[in-house]
Amino acid sequence: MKLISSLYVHVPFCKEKCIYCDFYSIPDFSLVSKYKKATFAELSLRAPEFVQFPTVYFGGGTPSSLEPDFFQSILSRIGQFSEVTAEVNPEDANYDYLVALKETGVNRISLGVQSFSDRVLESLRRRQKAADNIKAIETVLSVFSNVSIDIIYGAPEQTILELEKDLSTALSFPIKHISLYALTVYEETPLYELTEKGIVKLPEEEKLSEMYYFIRDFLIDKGFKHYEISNFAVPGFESKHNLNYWHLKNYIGIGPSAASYVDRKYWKNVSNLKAYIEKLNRNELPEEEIIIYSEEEERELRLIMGLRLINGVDLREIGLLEKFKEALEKSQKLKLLVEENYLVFREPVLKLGEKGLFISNTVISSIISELF
Amino acid sequence: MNQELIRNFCIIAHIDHGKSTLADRLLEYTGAVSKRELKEQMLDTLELERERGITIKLNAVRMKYTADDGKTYTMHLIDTPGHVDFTYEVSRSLSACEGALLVIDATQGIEAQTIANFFLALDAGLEIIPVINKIDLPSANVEWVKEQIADVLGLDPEEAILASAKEGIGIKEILDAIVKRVPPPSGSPDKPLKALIFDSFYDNYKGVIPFIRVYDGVIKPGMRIKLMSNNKEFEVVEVGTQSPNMVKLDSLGAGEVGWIAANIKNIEDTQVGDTITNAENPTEEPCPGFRPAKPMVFAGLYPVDSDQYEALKEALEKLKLNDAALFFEPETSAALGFGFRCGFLGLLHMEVIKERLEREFGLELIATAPSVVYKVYLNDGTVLDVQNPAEMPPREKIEKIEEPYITASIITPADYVGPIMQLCQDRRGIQTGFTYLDQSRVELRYDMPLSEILFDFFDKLKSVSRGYASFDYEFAGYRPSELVKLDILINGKPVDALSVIVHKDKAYQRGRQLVDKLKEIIPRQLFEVAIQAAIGNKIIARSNVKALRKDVLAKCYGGDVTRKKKLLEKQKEGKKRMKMLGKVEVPQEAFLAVLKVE
Repeated sequence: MKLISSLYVHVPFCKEKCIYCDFYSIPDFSLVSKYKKATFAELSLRAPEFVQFPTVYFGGGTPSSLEPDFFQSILSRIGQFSEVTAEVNPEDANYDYLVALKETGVNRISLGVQSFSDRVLESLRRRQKAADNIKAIETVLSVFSNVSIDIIYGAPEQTILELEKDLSTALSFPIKHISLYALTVYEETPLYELTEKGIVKLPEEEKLSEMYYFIRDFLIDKGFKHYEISNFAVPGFESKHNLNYWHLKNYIGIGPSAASYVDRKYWKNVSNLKAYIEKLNRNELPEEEIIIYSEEEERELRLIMGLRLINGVDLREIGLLEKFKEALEKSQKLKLLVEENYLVFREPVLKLGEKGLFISNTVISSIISELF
Repeated sequence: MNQELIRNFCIIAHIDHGKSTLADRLLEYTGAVSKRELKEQMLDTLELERERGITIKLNAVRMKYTADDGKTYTMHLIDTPGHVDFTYEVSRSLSACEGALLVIDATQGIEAQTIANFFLALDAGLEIIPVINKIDLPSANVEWVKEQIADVLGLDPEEAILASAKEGIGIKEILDAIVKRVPPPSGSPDKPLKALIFDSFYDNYKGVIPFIRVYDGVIKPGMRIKLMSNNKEFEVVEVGTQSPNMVKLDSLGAGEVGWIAANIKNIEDTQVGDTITNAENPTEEPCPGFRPAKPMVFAGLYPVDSDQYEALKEALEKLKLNDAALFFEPETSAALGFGFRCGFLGLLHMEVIKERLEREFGLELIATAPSVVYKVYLNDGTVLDVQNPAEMPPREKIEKIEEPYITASIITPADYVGPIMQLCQDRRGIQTGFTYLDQSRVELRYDMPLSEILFDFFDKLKSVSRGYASFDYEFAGYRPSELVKLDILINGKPVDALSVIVHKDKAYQRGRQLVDKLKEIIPRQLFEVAIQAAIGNKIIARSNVKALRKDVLAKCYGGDVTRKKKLLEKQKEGKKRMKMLGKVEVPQEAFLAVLKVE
């Protein structure tokens, strides 16, 4: 029996795409039954033997746009699991649905509230209101105890004051986990056009940095553990599924656009539902990209992913300790990062320093440019 | 060979007036090349020349023409480079001839280089045959050009030949005019050998091949020859001509033009303008006017990737084989690492070399801002030649600085005189002439520092005159100037590769421009970056690049490690291309910024 740490299931349907979202989704629900059939087929192809997946994550798109029988069918095909997360849209958070979901084996909910401010929600062109979000949290908590919410910051003209209210509201509920997202403008999203045309104005970088560190202090003060750049949890409730990504464990993703990583082999499925369905109808694997990473590249990946964790990465464990020490010896750039607390090195652990958290890409790319 | 039946001529013209096409047509008409063989612009052999429509290396071709008098003439067409950087080379080519075809575009009229070349030909004592070319074009204005020939050049316009090289019109008339009007070479085959080198190139098997014009005597294989500028002796192995392929001959006699091979290894031994004579029986007087090639413009060339240093060195050595005027020596910059200080005849020469290095040798290069050679007089009486701003001594040690000046001639439609005068004035030009060539066109003459045309002067001139102004210049010696060294400091430390020498009055303006440009180019980083411009210890402009505040991935992409890796790889590659100056990462483009401001 093979152990694959995690299974990701991508549900590509959304009634309406959020203006800032660049994940793959479509509004055409007529394909749902074909999609279901295809994902089951993919799961059988990927895991022909009985495979255990300790964690399962239904992401999207909008997983809660599908009936519980879908979750049931997937979960009944795989072995034991300790954490099963489903992303739920506040609109879909009705009691009966959630109860049915729980019966399928789902035990953790990630609720996309984004904000408790009507002004912010409207600026993001979300349909729900703050009151809907509060009602959704209450309903979810009446069924599930392990609940995570998404909070967005850096929304158009958002202020620290609004953010503080958001967080206070969130923490008035016994939620276990908060994922924090800086609103990021990706090309080819409507938000990109709106900001390019100057219709929507986003806060300046300085303001964003201030918000980030404000949130961090606020949540730590309230007993949350900052365990990954963008994630906070009541101790013991860190997302096991996401930790598997950051530790670069083996995982399989099914559904269009889903990515997988198993023993240095990476693959990504086609980002087009029709193509995905057609391929599986022909019993073919729906991959559009496959990369076999070398051992050295895998070490680089482990470093890249591991540095997102607040505790950092054990360089000895990933086989980079000597290489890093050598580079640190020679590289002025690296020395500078350490001296100025963008990076902390306590042999054998390397982690981002407090100042480095918010500019992690710059810091990490500096490290890899010196090491690889 | 009967000297009476030899005609040596060249074609001179402003750029794009049709010189190369006419040369092709003459070769084709005389049967030196068949139409099938004739690649367009036969004489321009370098790929780059063909592309840019300019001629860099000289060449000499022999053709046979049977005239109406029934006699067969041997004609040597000596090609001349068409750019101002090569004025000296042009003058040497001209002195190898007795006649010149002065080609003028019937739609453009006389331009700056037409005049410059005309005077060079006149100085060389050549018979000048004006050719009005492109008469087939609808916008051709033959009468207008004839007026200019009379008014500006003082030639008889009725002697001009009307032609269209493209359409093959007037070719026979031109050949007949060469026979009738260009005198046969004088000189005596019985005197001691006296031959002028007007070009040379490097052949992998035969070594350096000089192109020569024999004035007196005969040169043949087996003879010991001597180069009169350096007294080096060689034994002639082969002599020959080009028609247009290399053809061996038994000898080259007085009046003839051709090439020799003499196991010459070093191109610097056969400089253009030097005289070849018989080592055992030398001529008394060398050909007049020899001067060694002297670089006027200097710049640092550095490989972007330091691993390419050796490859750059080898490439420069290879180019040097064919180019006595190219100078280079190793140079080290604190900012750019190991590279070469290179000297060029002028801006075009520099551009051509840089492009050839990149294109033919696949090198990626950073060129520092070009600099002229300054004469720096120190208080202790010594005089330094400074061609790298970084080497400028401290101000308190300097008594005075002199910089090279040029005399510039600009010919423009009268409509653009205003903006052109403004431009020249901005470039510290002093007007020395203002002449109406006809009712609508003006020749402006300026004395200007050479350094002022190093920075996009040509582009500016083109843009203010909508491309109508033409430009030519010659060197006019050194003059004292109030110059200062402008340093750029990044976080308080001067960056040697960014230093420039500027006139005192322009230092503030230029300092501001440089600082603003660098602010644009240097990305935000961990720390605030202070950029300053300074003269000595005095800061004259400053700006800051704010510290980076945000660079965090929002989502973890559902475990798509590759997407994340690709994103970071991109940043990583960007970082590898940056130079670390102290704590600051500076992109390569920054070193070109000094060229692009204004």
